Amino acid sequence: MPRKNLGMFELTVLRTLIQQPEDAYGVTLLDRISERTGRDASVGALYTTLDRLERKGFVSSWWGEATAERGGRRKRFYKIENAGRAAVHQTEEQLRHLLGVDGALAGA
Amino acid sequence: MSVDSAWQKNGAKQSPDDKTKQALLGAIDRFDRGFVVEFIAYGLLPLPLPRIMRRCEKRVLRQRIESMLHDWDTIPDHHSYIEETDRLMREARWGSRASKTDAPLSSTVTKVDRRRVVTMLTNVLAPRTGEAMLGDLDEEFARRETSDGSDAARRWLRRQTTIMVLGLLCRFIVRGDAIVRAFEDILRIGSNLF
Repeated sequence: MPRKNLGMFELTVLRTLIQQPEDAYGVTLLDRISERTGRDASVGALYTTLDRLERKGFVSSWWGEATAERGGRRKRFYKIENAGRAAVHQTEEQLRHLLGVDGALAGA
Repeated sequence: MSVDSAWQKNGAKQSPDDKTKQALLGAIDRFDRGFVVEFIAYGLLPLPLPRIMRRCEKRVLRQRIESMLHDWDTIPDHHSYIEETDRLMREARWGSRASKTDAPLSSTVTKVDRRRVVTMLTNVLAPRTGEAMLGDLDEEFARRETSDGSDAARRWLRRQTTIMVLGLLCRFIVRGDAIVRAFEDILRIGSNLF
């Protein structure tokens, strides 16, 4: 049974997938994370996290199309699964208790 | 499909001359030899071989040359045709932004290309997502090259590539260490049984 506690970057990635599920692959996810957090994450860190989340069953992925601007390489699209949503809510609940904040966190 | 048949099939007005055909077919032959040399070289390494090689590059190259032959009439003369072939060969082998100095026309591999090493390492260390990672780097690089300029984009790519490869290596080492420790545990437990 995978651990449901999430790290901050894992939470950020899953939140991004919940709020903007369309067209979610590496470049768009990095853009959205940068917009939301002001942090420029690296491609390596993103894929390491996505790989870990996928092994835990929190996200699923599939291959998309290849384009010329990607040097003929395919995109890998990601989608959050129900287990991932549950993990997000559980982690946010813990954060809420920790911070003493009432009500759900913004956008939950 | 031969040069001639591709040409005839598409209703071309004139066939490419012999010199052009020789240049093209010779280039493919040399490319093949280079491919075989790489195959043998990689075959000697104790690593998951199929992931190291871009197995489809030869097929991709052929497809692109054939597709170029289909569009023959968009290329004004044989000289530019050879240049175009040269560019396609480099792209098929080294990626879309390879400079002319990176890889002479269809040569065998004579120098280590950083880009190729990164591709190889990424595909070995992250077999599932390596292709997507490299594609994302390419896509973002192209975008930054347009918006921030070539130098800034190159700096970004160097930094990202370094972080990515080092991160993958660390993960590989850590996982390897975990496997070794698990194996030692099994041996210890096993030895206690006797």
